[in-house]
Amino acid sequence: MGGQSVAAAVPPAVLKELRIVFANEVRSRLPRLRALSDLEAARRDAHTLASSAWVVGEPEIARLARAVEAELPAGPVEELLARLSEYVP
Amino acid sequence: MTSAARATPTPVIVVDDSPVQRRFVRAAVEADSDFTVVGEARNGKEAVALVARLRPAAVLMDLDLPLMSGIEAIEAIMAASPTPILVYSAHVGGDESANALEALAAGAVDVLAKPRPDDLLSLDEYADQIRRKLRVASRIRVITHPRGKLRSREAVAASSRLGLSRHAPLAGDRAVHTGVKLIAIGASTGGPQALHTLLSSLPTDLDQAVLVVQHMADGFIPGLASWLDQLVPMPVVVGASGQRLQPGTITIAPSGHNLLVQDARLRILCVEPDAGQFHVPGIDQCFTSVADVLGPDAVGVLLTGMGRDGAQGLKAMRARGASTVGQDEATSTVYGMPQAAFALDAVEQQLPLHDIAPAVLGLVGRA
Repeated sequence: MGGQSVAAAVPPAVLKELRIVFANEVRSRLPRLRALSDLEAARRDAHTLASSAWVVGEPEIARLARAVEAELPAGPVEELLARLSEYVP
Repeated sequence: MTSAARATPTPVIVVDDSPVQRRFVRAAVEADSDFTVVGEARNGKEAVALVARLRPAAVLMDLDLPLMSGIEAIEAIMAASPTPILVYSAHVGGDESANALEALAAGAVDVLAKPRPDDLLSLDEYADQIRRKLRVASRIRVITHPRGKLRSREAVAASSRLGLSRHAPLAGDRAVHTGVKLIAIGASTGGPQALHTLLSSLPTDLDQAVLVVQHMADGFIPGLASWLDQLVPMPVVVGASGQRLQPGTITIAPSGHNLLVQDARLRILCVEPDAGQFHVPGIDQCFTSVADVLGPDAVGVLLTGMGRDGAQGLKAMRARGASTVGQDEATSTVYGMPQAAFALDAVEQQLPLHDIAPAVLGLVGRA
């Protein structure tokens, strides 16, 4: 390995792109979370959204999603849905 | 190697069902021009196929995947297309560290916890963690790693074909020393799986205490102890200062400290490492203390692992009359520490993994 160069930070353009990808992810997973007809699928959606939300700088959504993942079918589902809906009006 | 060849970035595959995570990990990895992401997989099945097709130098993989779980995918990849796999997951820290051990046992070379919502870690710090772990993982030369009997049979055959037990007189060739009080074991990369194999063959009525020093990030040792406790016959505990090592019990050195054996009654002391000590808990420190207080009344075993930790300690044990065993190259995930020990002439017997427990039992008169 040449140890060539390492960027110091995640570039702003990538951060912007990540937020767009996150909005698409919310859009695709929100219906399953609303329906809660398949708890395992909903748990996986909450799990994925929790990690993704942290990456795009949404720690409150991450915290809610993690709680939903752990407590389904209980937990702060409505609160999470409300916050996610703001992403995909 | 030419400079042009050195400039070729190391190919990596990212496996995650989240497009956000895949995009972020790609950006984090490719921020280092030494690496390039050559493929992305959304589930375990895609990962297995992609690794077989693209043959990357390393794989970054989430554990919670649809269609085929991360653990199943690791097993499949390590059986068919052995590749260093670095797991990153939200479910490997704290109470869920058993998942990390399961991933390591399946053949992953390292585990990184995804940040929790309340973590103070910045995105850039997390990206840096990924790159540092990936740099180490991508340099590991891994071996075929199917679990269970298949793995053992292949290891035996490989060792025989390659003649790698060249320094391996049978246990019976060495006089049994009935005064052995302690079996001290050191391990690093690939250690959890190797420990599982070795410790599974030690009986519950063993007259000796067993001490394990496994390099592991802070917080994972209790999970390792709990995981092994469920899998092996002997009870497994985490050591603490003031305790005495007990016959028939496996004690694991705690995170963040060096575990030293203080006296021939096997009282232990856990001490802060020196500033700059790279591997904690240190195997050299532990083995050297064993050499000092027990001399010939101990058996030292150095298993798979990167680097050199344990080699000097094992040499000290051998110099004081202890029996010493090193894992062979064919069955080591990383033939680093045992190779360093072998080069120092610290290894009395170099053996395939599955032969180590019988040899140790022979050395303590339980053949």
